[in-house]
Amino acid sequence: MHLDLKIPAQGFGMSFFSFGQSAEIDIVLNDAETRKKAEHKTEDGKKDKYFLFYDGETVSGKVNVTLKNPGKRLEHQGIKIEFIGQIELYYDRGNHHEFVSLVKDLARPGEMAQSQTFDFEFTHVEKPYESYTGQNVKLRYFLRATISRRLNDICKEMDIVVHTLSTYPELNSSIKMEVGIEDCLHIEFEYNKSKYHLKDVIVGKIYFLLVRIKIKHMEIDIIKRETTGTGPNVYHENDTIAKYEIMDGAPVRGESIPIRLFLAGYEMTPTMRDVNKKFSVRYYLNLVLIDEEERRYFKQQEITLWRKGDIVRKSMSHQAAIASQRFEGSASAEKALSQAKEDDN
Amino acid sequence: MAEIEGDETARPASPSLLPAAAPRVNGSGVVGSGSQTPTMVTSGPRVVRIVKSESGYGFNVRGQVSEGGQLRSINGELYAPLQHVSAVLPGGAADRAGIVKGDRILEVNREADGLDGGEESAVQPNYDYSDKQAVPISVPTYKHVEQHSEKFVVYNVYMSGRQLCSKRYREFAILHQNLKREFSNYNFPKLPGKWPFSLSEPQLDARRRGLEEYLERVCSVRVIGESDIMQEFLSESNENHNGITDVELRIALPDKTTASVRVRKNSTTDQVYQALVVKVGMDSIMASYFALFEVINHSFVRKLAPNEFPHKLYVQNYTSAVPGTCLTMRKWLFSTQEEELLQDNPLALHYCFHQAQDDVKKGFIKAEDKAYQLQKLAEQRKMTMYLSLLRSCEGYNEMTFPHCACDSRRKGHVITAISMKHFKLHACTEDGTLENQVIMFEWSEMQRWDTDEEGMAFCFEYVRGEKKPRWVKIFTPYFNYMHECFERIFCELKWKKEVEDEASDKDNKNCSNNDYLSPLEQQKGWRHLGDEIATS
Repeated sequence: MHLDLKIPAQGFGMSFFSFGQSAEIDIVLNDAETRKKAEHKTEDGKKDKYFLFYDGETVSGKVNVTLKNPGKRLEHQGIKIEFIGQIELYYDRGNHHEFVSLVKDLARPGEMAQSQTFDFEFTHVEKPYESYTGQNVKLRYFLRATISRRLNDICKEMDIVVHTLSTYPELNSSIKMEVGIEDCLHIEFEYNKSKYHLKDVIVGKIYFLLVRIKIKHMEIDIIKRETTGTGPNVYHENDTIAKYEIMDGAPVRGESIPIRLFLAGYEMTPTMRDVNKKFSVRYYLNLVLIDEEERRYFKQQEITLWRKGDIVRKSMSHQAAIASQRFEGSASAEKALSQAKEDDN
Repeated sequence: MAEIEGDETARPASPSLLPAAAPRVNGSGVVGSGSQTPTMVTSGPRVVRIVKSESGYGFNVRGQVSEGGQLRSINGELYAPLQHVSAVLPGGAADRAGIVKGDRILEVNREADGLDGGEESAVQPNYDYSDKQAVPISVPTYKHVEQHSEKFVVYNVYMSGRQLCSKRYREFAILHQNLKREFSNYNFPKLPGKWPFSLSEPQLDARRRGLEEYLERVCSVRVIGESDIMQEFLSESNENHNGITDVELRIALPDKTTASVRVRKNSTTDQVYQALVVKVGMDSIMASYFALFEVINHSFVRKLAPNEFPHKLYVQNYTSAVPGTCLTMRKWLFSTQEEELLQDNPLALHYCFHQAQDDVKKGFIKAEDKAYQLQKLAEQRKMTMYLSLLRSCEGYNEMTFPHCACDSRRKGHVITAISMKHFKLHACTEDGTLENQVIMFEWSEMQRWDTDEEGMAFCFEYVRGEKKPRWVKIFTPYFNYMHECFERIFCELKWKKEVEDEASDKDNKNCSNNDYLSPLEQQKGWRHLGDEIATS
């Protein structure tokens, strides 16, 4: 959260000490008391807590404008608040790609004689992507309140964090493959699923069909690959999130090594594919075998990570009944709601 | 995220919500409409009933089938990827019901998700199979039984070392079928296979291990382990051998050892106690001075009523106060004239001594200035002398109940203590802190007493000289136990009187042919003793 002083392009060599009136802006959410906060890494690696929102949730609150010099009036060209969702590529800082941009005018151009509070509400805001701060790209959502003035605007930004939830069936296709090097090493590996939620467990096994090399140890690495740019300017940033040794010593033919890797211990985001056509974040399981001569044999396999919602899943009929209540005039909505409640119990 | 084809037109008409039909008529469904762009005006979800006609339902559906995906919001609510109507047959059943191309389907027949091209199919509610917990369930033994001239094997299922039930293979197979039907999208482990011929001992043991592994894996999934099907399997005994199966109960003894008895599962307190008497080697006289108690917590034990089922308590109650069991044997005697009991009975002396020591340690008996003396006697194992000295201390052979409300106090609670000397009500605050006021009733004052099942209270009526007798209600959940204590006190008073009369009965006038009734029988029911109360 920072104060932005926008200096117009002409630039008079603006002094920071203006003789006129100045103001402080403060943005407060209506549900600040009840809304959960989530931790999110900032660009410099620090972790901070921000209010957590999901797709479709309304963002409402108040903008408090406090005049710094009491008694003096504040002339302005309008006060507004914006809800912005944007993608920022670090190598192209000037260009922000806004995929969500909503604005609400709070005050027409005029004068403010005293400190004031303005209400705002962005109803059912679409937040299609998850907040992400990576090595080369950042996706963020924030509220920005602006007091427009002739020479310099007064701004205040408030970042929020958005999580995207998904749902996948428990039983999804496992990853099973036979790989190897002719006459040297044949293994069959299996992972119980191809889609894992962030607190899931990777359960699987490695089965050795043919071993003619001296294996020192075997490990599974989780690799995060952040891809930015398009066409010829595609850039992959690989990061090994975890290294997990699953076997130490030489296996023999017919031996089966179990895999049990708990994902909850690692900091990962859901898989993000081609977000707004700007970037992707994908995860791979890398099975690595190292032999006595330090040679590495590996097999990489992509897995899909998703975030499971811990918001209570009401039965769909109940959800439908609640949703229909937003459209007034239906006494039958009431009926449907109580029917759904009955069914739920 | 899968691509959903077809255009997503908003429903133009104003929302009309048909009442959700209670009977599950063929083809009824809930349809929600609206696109996912928040700026478009959409109508809310509505219920639609489509009755199958000659041309079928008359609409096509497109979209994901149980594949899942990102939750997106429609009108502010998050939904999993929904299927939508891709085509409507003009004049068909769906058209007449008001379905329009582009409508999104929220649920069918009140069950969410997963359609297959317009047909209805009963779908799995979304279970979370990844929610797991380790469950200490095991099948350590099996037994050959014969019932109704049929010979078969039952496998004993234990939880945390305590026996829950015994089931034969056939019952496991039925369990497996039922579970598979209820959780049809869960990948169940295999049950040990059927075998039409009789199994050898090693084969039986292999089957036992297989069944154990099956139960362990299946119960570790929380929704399955806690499901009604599983709970019924584990707790209820099959009608076939209702109570005929034996169970093993561990009972704690006063000297901190435990004894295990093997009884029928539906044995009553009396039957279990009888088995214990035999196991421990008590004679019938000693047996009448002890009884089975349930350990409620570190500071309270409750005598089991004669018609209770100890096994039920044994498997349900887990208390840390006594390791491994909630059942214990303790002295059941109020009278302090117990020398004759202990004189010729070293086992009784042994148990009484150990129980007394424990009671002193817990603070039930107040040793106070005699503490040093008592400790010395205990170290020297002079049990008779120890008990003799202890008998004069406060709290000896006194049953104290947890604090509870009483109708003679408007605010605050009372702690009830029952001993041979008196019936004591000690005032205390609602959280059990002792206050000064103590009321003591002589047993001769007691006229009538009863339990109030509905109000969960024990009531007694006491005489107040010239004034009218007055009823007092004590709101304790252990009203039955309190009642038993009352009965026992009066019974012992009666014995005492009989002994005294016997002693003073030179010409044997008072002799009868009846022996003393065993205390257990006398406690059934209640009666007005009226003038029969002996004054001590």
